[in-house]
Amino acid sequence: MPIRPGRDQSVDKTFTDGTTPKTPIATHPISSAIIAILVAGSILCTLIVPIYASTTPKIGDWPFFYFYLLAAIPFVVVALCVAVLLQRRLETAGESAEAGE
Amino acid sequence: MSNVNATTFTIVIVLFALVTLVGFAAARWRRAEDMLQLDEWGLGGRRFGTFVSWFLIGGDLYTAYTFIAVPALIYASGSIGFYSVSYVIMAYPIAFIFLPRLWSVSRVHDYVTPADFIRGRYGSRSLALANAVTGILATLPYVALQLVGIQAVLSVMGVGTSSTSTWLKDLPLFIAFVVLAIYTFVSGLRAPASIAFVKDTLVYVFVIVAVFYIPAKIGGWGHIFGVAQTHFTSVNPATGKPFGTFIPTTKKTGSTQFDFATLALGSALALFIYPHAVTGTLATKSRGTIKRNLVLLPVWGVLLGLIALFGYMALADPVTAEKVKKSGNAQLAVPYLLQHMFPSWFAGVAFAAIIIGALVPAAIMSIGAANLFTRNIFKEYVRPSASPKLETRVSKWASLVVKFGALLFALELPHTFSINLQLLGGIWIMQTFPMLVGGLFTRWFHRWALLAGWLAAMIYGTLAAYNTSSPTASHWAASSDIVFGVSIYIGIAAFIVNAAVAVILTLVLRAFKVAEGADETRPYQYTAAAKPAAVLVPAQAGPLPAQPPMSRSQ
Repeated sequence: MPIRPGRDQSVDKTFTDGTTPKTPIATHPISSAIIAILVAGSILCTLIVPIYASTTPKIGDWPFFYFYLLAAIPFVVVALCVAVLLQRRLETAGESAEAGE
Repeated sequence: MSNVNATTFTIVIVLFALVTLVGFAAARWRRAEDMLQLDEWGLGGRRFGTFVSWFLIGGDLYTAYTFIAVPALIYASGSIGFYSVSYVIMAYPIAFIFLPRLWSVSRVHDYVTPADFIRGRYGSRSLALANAVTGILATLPYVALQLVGIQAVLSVMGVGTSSTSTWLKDLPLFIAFVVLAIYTFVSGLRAPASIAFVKDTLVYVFVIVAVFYIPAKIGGWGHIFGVAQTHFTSVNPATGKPFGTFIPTTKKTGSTQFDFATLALGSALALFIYPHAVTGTLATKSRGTIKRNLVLLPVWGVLLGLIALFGYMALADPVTAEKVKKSGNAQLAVPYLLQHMFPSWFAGVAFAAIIIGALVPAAIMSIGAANLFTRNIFKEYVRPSASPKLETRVSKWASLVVKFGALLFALELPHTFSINLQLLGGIWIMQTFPMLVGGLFTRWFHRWALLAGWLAAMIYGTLAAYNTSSPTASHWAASSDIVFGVSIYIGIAAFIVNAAVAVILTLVLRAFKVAEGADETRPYQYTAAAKPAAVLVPAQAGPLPAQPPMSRSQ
């Protein structure tokens, strides 16, 4: 019998001792929100082109547009790094799967 | 072969010979007892750690296309080429959302290809076939692009015969390719993984030297950007329009901010659903490895941004600009720049970096496409009883076929703006996003609705790309089209068609209660850190394992 998606998954949320854990997101709402903001921010910072599509202000000899794109990279690296560390905290505390995915 | 610089040529040959040795020796690297499982040849035994994966995936994603076509686009059109920097920045946070889930479910079920997952998730052979065919089609121009990169370097080096026959003229390219084909055949994914070290080291050295050395030699960054700005805002007498744009505009058509953003977003969505990117991902040993790599891989973006600026450097150097103008081929901008700026021995190092930089991804791409063919076409439709040994053999031969298919692609199709070739592949592969990434999060979509959405978008995207024209080309001229009066990347436009069809048909098919197919995956498997012990032994798909206790990630 085909499994109806999205239904009857209660079994998946049960430990062997029969208890049902709280989801990691419910346990750590603030960490989960920070992860979501970090990941969304990493995407939006270069997706929203009007933020940086201008020649001025110049940074040294570099027009702003070109400087911004290269300068965004270290910020994305740091943001994703923090997101990974926060997820690890959720996993150990929430006893189960990662949130924010 | 009259005006070949002996020093440059010798350095290139020596480095090429070195990676060939490494490629063959790789067969012995971390060799498994049973080389006949497809995971061994096709995924390097799924054992690569963070360090190796960073080089492998980096070497895989930043290709000869990066070194040749991106600066070529910037040289010819200006700021729009910088979409590539925005795109690699976005690709990793996007992948961060779905890639760990794909890794986990693939590890639990021993999936080798993205189509394996789709087969298991939707219980649909045809949807898996659609994914496999798209993957193979999208990979061919991508491999071809690597060849175009090698060709550009070879032609500037003066290597090649003066024969008018295409095949004889490109004999050196042909030889390089045969060597690549043989060691990939022998060593599988281990070959590009080990060559990637050599390649990436050469690339980092030459780019870092170049970004300090070249601007100092031609008058500094201020001069480089100044020349570019003047050039792209001046009017081209041939077309009566500016040569390009220095900053994306706020107009409705042309190189607009919206066009820039959709191009970057579309490419970013597509990056990690390419078969070769999935191959690199599934070859890692743990879920943590994937995450750590997604954090560290954007570092490559800095390199890409600097390489992109070679386009402006070429424009600012009068000798290089004159040579490129004479050849009429913007792809030669970087090779000419390096040749003119560097002493011949260092030009040799840089050229070797580009040539080897083409071989690594070409090998991984052909392996990814070959795995798709073997698992989702051959095993599914031709020989369902195929043993792992036969699968491996078929995959090896298929990787050869893919490479020579790409060679045909590269030699027969026009070369100008080879970036558009890859963008056509990007338009196609993006249409597998709803079935693949959608499927990682929800089973809401109906399998036939996904198939219909895919088909509609493939047809629309291909026609739209075909119909683009420019003053110099009547077809396949651009990756962006004007929809409702606004310039937009065709991949995104087709993706919207795709998603709309999938949503509407899902509602219709559900209303008529059309069978949805069996789903062999379970929610907890999408976050699993490792394979449950119960299914460690049999590699083939069998009945579902008994429900294990909830696994603790990592």
